[in-house]
Amino acid sequence: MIRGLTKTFGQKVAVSDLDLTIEQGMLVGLIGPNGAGKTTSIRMLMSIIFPDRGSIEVLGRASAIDSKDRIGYLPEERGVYKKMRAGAFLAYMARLKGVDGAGLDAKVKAWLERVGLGDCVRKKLEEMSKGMQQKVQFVASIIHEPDLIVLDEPFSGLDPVNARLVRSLVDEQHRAGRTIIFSTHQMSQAEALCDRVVMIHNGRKVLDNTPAEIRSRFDPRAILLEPVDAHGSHEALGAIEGVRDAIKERGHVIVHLDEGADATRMVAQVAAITPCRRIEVVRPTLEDVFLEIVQRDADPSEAQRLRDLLTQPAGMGQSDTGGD
Amino acid sequence: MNRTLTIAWREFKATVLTKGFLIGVLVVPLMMAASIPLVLLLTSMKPPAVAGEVAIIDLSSSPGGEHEASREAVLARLTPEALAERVRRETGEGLREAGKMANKVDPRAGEALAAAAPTIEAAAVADLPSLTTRVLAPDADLDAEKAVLLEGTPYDNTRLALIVIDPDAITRTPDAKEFGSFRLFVKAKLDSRVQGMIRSQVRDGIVDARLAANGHVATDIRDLMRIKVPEAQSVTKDGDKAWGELQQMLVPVAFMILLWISTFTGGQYLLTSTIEEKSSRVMEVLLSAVSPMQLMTGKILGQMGAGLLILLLYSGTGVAGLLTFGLGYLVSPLNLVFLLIFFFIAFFSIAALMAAVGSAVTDVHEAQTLLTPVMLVVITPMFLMMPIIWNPNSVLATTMSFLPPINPFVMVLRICSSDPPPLWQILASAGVGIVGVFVLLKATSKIFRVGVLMYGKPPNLVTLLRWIRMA
Repeated sequence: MIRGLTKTFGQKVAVSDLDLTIEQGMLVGLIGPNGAGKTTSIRMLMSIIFPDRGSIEVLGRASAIDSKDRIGYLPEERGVYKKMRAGAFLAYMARLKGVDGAGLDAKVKAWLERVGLGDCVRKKLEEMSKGMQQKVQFVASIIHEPDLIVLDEPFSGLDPVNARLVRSLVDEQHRAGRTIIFSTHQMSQAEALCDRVVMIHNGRKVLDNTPAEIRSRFDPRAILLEPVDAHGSHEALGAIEGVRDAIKERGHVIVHLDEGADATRMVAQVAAITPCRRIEVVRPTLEDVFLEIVQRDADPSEAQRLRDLLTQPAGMGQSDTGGD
Repeated sequence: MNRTLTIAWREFKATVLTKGFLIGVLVVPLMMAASIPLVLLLTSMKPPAVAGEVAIIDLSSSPGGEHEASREAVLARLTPEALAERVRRETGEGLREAGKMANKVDPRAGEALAAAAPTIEAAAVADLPSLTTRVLAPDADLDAEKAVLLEGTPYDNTRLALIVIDPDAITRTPDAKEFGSFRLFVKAKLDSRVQGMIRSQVRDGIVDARLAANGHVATDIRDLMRIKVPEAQSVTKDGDKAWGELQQMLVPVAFMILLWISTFTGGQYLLTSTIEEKSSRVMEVLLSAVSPMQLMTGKILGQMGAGLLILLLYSGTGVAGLLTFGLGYLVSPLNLVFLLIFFFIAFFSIAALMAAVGSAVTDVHEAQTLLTPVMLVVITPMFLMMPIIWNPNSVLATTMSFLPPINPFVMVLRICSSDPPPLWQILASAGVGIVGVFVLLKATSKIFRVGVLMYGKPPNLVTLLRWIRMA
């Protein structure tokens, strides 16, 4: 539970009055473009840096310091001891998280096999690829079977195959009843995985809901169709009752509906007037939702900047002073 | 605490198992120790004996000269007996001086040296060159005689040296301020030891001739000029003491350098490992498992282990060496205890400074700027070493004994000196040092907490002070 969390770096307000309550067993996505304040929020949650204002309660304790053993953390700025062997590194991290005993080596080996690195127990981390190191780092964050897993941009830098592997592991941990918070600037990932999505922009929470609720709330009320005759007229569509306008765009037509219009009925009417190869009710993405929210107050250049940020590869544009 | 020890153990292993540590701290000293017998062996291997002729042109005995006795005096000095007598006398004098020093240190060492003296003298005599002499006519062609020196080697009985005694070497020319001398021409490859011996013997021969020419007996004059120089005796309540140079210099210097090496090696590794963890971004991973304080403490303890290993290894070897040679009393057990106490104070002081610098920067180059003032402070004991050794209870020495973080180094110098400070000063200095360590660690923990996750422009000293205030 987070209440009124605020953090500034010099003149820059990184996080402002953030409130957040996460129930046990939820998988929550913290989304927003680079520089939004996700990493700073996570670092405060982890008690790595401390807020200027506000309070944090983690797993029933006043701070993450009191429950570090029950938390798994994969930071955005992740590194390894390059001269250390993969198995030794995992064993060391597990010991720091309170795991010890005779079974530790077997556990390390099993986890490395699980992520396809079974033959790398004695391999030095500097001899492994970045993707392989990242999988080792991921294992280091969950090897102690934590109750809460915090992952900061867990998929960045992974190829599609390994991203899928990590996604399946995240999903598995979720199904095992663990609470998971992960941040990403790639909203499609959050959309696919999360029970709940928290959007952050300029250090402020701008949205906090389930993906389904968000989609329904931000339903653009539009129909997208691909006419059989790409050069034909679409003016007739605008005359249908309940249609606000119909706009042609690169071989597609977008039909915007009036408030209260029945989308299912309208699809049938549109299809009857204009034969089409494909027709569907437009489903809003989180990116669309995010842009709609921030564009309400932003000028066009700011909106364009945000569009660019949302399509930027992971790891770019990070702040030097305490993450984003 | 368990986590702190886990970090400390990894830090210790990651340091002492590196090639740099093994080579620099263990292998090099071991190689040096192993090289001592090798050097002794090599030096004991005798080179081929020098053998050859020394030719003399005595112009002082020529019709222009007045004293034919000079040639005889020089020849007498170049006989095997005369050479042996000189070597015995010089070796004996050296051994007597060494014996006096050894007696001050330990009578048993003096006795051992006295017992070995005949053997040493015999060895020195056995090394003498085999010289033959040849007197050349005063009108001999000098260039032709010098050309003979170009033939052969110093070992094949060819000519080794040509001596030309000046006409006025024995009797001063009227109105001249000085006597004449002699010229010495030698074979190019003749070793300097033999050259020196010939030069000294010829000079002594000429002096003998001059004394005789003036109606004196050379041996009587030499006896008159010889006097034993006494050692100064310090009068103390425990009786008169003659402190040897070993005690005055070597022991305090050895102790302080040992302290310096052990603390700085650990401190340096702490600096580089902190910078490495920060630059490789492993720091945040660690901080998700432990607090900054636990991390810093673990790292300092780990490096303290490395420093302590060096201290114990080197001091243990040193003490073992002293015991082997019967000099164990030079290092009292109490001094070793004090060394250990001041090691901890010195190490924690240096480690605190190094950890602060390491946490504030992201690479070694950035660290240089912040390290400069630190190094200036901690190198001060090196500059003050000699004044403190010679006057261990001066105002300077006493004042420095209470100034952290250099007081452990100064106090170790004073404790091992010939005039140790009173116990209250030792305890007070340790107390001040412990307070200093506490303050430094407190400030460092604040810098560490802020600095380890701070990237970008490296901070200056003012920024560090601000971090201390804000953390």
